[in-house]
Amino acid sequence: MKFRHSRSQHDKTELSMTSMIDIVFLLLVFFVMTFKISAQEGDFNVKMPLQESGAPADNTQLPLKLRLKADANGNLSEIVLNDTQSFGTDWEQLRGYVVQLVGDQAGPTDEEGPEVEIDLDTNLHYVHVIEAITAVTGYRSGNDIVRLIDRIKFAKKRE
Amino acid sequence: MIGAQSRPADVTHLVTPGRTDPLSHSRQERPTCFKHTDLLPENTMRIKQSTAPPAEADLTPMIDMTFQLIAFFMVLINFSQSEQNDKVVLPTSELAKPVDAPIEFPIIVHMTSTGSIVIGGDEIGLGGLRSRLAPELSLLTLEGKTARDANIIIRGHRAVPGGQVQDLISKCQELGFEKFALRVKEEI
Repeated sequence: MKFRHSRSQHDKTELSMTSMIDIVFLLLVFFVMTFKISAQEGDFNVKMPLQESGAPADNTQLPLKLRLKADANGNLSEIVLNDTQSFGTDWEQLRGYVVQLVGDQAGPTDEEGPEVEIDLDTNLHYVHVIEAITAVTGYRSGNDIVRLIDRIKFAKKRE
Repeated sequence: MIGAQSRPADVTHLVTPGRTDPLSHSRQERPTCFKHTDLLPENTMRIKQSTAPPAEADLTPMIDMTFQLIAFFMVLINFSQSEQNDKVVLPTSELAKPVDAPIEFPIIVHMTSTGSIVIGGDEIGLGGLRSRLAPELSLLTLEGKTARDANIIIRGHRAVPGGQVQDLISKCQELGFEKFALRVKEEI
């Protein structure tokens, strides 16, 4: 049988860019839409070795005891500092007081700076604990962060 | 463009000035056919215009950029999934700042709103913490370190009772861990 070979055309083959660009843009739109802009995260460092019996007492110059009281729903009801000073539920008042206490010092140091012990009701929402740590740790002035107290620890859990 | 009007309907080429039209040779005699040079006055100097190849947009830089964008978004999506957990909504703080130096031996512990603990994708109760952290402790020992060198990063849900976070911390203390980091989200 005789095959008739059609004359093959040796034209310059050109890639069709349109379909590729279609797919590429589709991918791009997919990733842009599924991209969730997440806020930056930071850490509050808490150094809490297990207290052993006979352990040396804290070497802090300025011990502060922060008591956080909660209502039945776990919301904050009262902030008390050193068992005497009550600030209601206003973190700004507490921060102002801490600034007065700490502000005249040379600044927090690792070993001998003031230390806050947070004593909280067990049902208090964690967000209020973070608010308390934020209030005593420092404040933001413009873009800078002014550090107040770096040493934070938790008191023994209340029963 | 002007010449195209006098052509048969099946000819759809556009004749632009300066470009040679293949049909213009055969139809030169026609009085209706019209060359752009006819418009020039008699004493004007004729400049021979070079025939320009058809202009094609160079798509290479655009495709380069697009692929780079795709790669960027893909990498970002993979990273965000490794450390985060959908069940945990972190509390916010104005002092949250991303850490400058990499944390030494981090162990990320998520605490959901119900108080359950998620480590590396495994959801466990507080009682299962010891057995879950045992491989991490042995890994630390292999590297010549102790539990004191490790950092426990606690990602607690904002509504979890604070007492449960205290429980978690005290359980970790019993295992020898000392350094904790309470992770918070930046306040926008």
